[in-house]
Amino acid sequence: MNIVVCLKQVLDPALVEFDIATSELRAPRWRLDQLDCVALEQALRCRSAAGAAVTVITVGPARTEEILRHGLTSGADRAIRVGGDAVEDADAWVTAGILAAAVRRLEPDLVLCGARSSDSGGECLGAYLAAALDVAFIGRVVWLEPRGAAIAAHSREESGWREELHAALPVVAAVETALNEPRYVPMLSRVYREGARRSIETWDVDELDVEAEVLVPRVVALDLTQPKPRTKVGVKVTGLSMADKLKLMRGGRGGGQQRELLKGNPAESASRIVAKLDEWLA
Amino acid sequence: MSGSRTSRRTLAAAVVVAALTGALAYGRYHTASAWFAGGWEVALIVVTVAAGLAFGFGVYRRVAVWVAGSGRLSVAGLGHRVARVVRVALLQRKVLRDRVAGAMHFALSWCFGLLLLWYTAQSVGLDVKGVPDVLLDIGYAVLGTAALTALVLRFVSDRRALSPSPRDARHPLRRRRDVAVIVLLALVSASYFADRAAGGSIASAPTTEWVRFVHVLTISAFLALIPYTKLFHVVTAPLSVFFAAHDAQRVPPLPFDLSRDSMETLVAQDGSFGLSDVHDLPLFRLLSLDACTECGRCTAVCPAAQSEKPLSPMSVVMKLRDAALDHDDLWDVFSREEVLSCTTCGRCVAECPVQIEHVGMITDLRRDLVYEGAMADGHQRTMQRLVEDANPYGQPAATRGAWALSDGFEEAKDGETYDYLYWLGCAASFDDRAQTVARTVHRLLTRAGLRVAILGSRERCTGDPARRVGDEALFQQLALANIESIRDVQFGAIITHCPHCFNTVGNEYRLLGADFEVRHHTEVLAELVASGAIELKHEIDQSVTFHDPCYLGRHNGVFDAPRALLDAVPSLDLVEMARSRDKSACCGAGGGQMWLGEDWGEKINVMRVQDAEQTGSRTVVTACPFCIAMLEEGAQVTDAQDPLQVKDVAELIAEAAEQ
Repeated sequence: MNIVVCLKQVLDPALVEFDIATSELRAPRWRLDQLDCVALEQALRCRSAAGAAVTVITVGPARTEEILRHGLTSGADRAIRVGGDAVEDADAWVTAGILAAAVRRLEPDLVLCGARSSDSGGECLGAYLAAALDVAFIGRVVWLEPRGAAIAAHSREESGWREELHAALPVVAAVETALNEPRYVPMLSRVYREGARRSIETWDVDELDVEAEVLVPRVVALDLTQPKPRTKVGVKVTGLSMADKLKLMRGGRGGGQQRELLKGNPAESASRIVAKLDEWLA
Repeated sequence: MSGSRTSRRTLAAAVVVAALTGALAYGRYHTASAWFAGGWEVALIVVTVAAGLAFGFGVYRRVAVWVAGSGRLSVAGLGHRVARVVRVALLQRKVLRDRVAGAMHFALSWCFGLLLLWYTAQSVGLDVKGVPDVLLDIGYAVLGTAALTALVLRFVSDRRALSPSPRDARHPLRRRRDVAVIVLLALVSASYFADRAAGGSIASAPTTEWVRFVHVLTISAFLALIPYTKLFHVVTAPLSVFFAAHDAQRVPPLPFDLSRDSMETLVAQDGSFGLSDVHDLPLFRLLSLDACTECGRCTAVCPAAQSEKPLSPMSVVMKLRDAALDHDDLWDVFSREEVLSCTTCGRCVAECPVQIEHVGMITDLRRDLVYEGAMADGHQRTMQRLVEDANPYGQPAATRGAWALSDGFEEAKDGETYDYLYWLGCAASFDDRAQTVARTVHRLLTRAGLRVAILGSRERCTGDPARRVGDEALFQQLALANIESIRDVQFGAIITHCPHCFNTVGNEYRLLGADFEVRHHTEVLAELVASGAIELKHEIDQSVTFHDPCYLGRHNGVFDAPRALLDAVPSLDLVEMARSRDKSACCGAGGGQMWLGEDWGEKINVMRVQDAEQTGSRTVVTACPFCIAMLEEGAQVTDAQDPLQVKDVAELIAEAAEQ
């Protein structure tokens, strides 16, 4: 199986600052968009399960090679950057057009990308790309499994519903955070070193078969405004266990409810639970 | 080429064997006639030569493993090393920490040593007739008694130290060999007395030849078995004690140095930066593996083993030793869970009578896990947070220390000089319980007239969790960034209330060329109290107990400062736990356990809370934010209605000084 993962470099959302005077966004560092990390992880998992070649690709200037390097050191087999003058002010439409031309050459079975980027958040690149390639598209993917020449996936719907979809390959799938937890690849580990030794290919838009009208952005950003400051409410928490505290700090739920650890054999514990329930219901 | 090398080796071996045979036969021939005549004389020579050759081959087999190891034997700090041999090997101070077994071993080893000296001397024809029979009688009697005691300890008493858990590698075989050696020792003594009973003196010709010959046989068998059994430690223990690294427990060496090595060369290298093949171990470590006496002291005190986790430090040593001889693949004999269970508390190293450094080797194995991408999920998540946020809690790096700055802490500025740079650490930066400790320490210091600053958002995790789980590159990245930030500031010394930061910045940054003076807050506060800068005027009429954090006490030798502080509080009564000071038990957080998120076996923190509760005190005092977190959790589990109070030393001092 041939898997292509489309990556996007974004300003680190955790560190981004808005300059109100110049309407500019700034951040001390760029990073690979979080949802693209999920797409990359899924590609690597499909590879170890089914045996496949994973190619990472991005459209952008030389600085974007950093995220391709991340893809390689995470375990991707091949990395391609599509550069050229046309990529500078590309919107999702233009990017999808360029990507389609490049991806077509790779003849992939599965193309993965993030459902939306953390900066522009248009949620349309995957669909544009599928249309341009004239292949099936599955969006908001929270579960995915290759099945021979087809793919099974769960697409997230409103209110927690999930839709199970099957499609014949090739398919473009746009993924959600819930799909997996991206791996951590330690620097200088075996996989990291192998990836660091591979070179990044550079393709130029001019060499690709892209029609001129595709390279005209459909959307132009005119202005940026600062979001209204939100009030944060802090809650002082005391008397929680270390594990609950850690969970709370990481945004999960923990604490709050009263907890009690029951000791003893299952029968004793069960009867104590029943007693507790009676007490609460009374 | 290799063919001629092999034949040259065979030739050399043949020459050595022939020379050894000749020397032994000749030596024995000269002295045998004093004991035996006729056929007995020939038998004696044959037995001696066989035992000598077996001994020689056994030693050769194991020395060959050592010399294949990496690095050289270091004798730096010769005086220190000699003193250690006297203390640990000759006076057996560590063996004697276990009183009964220790006394048994002390008597056994010295009698055995002196008798062996006598036996060898008379075997090679020296005139040792001056030694009176009664001395030999006493020697053999002590030997026999000690051997019987050893058997009693194994079979009658239920001592854990000598009967480690069934998890131990190749357990049944090990036990059989262990017992066989002691039975043989008892037979040496018994056959001596049989000979004496037959009417002779061992120094003169026997009255009943076959009885004397049995005695000779037992001694010869004993000598021959030395390099094949745990008895080999009589040779290797002094060597291991002598050559062990000085501070290896604290400072596992760097596998590479990001401050010097270029990324290109490191990336181009093949092979693991961790321990993937036992033969890559340094020479002194391979030697120390052969010194293991399988006494089980390490496993008996290991918090992971005590809490039924899949780790036995003794088993780690035995597996490595066997792998060195049998060329096992390490991950065929080790499990990931086993290697990940270690809290790096260092109790095993502190107890080991032959100075084996388990923790360093376990860390080395973890480095190989990291290298192979087999890091535990919990550790992966934590390392990812360290990469992105420079703290293991996953809080935004930019908010680090923000609470402190709005609470009156000063951020270090250019051109200013401070008495102390206060290293807040991740716990005090993001955990509110540790923040109260930091606030207290800061208040005590500033009221004593000291100028203290923090690094604010320029401070990052020291890299301690990364180093402990084996992610050396991440550790070095964090460390190098911190070293740069620290060097921007003018200060007298660094102060921290976190023993992990204390250890990492103080000891391990030295490996990267940064020599900072780091002091733990208990040391600084003890000085301030002693000098009167902090006056403890209020009585605290309470009984408390003190829990030694591993990285403060055992790893850095700070046992007295916190106790001096507690002693200085009027009316306060310090009741020590059964396991305290260098025998202190771990809280369970160290070695990356805090971030592992696995629930194997029992909870170590609950076990430690039970230790504290046995003192009768309702308050346990400690000096580490992670110990506080673990003990508070353990106290909740033990008794949710009336949990044991957990305090930092500084909080008690503040109570006594301010109230």
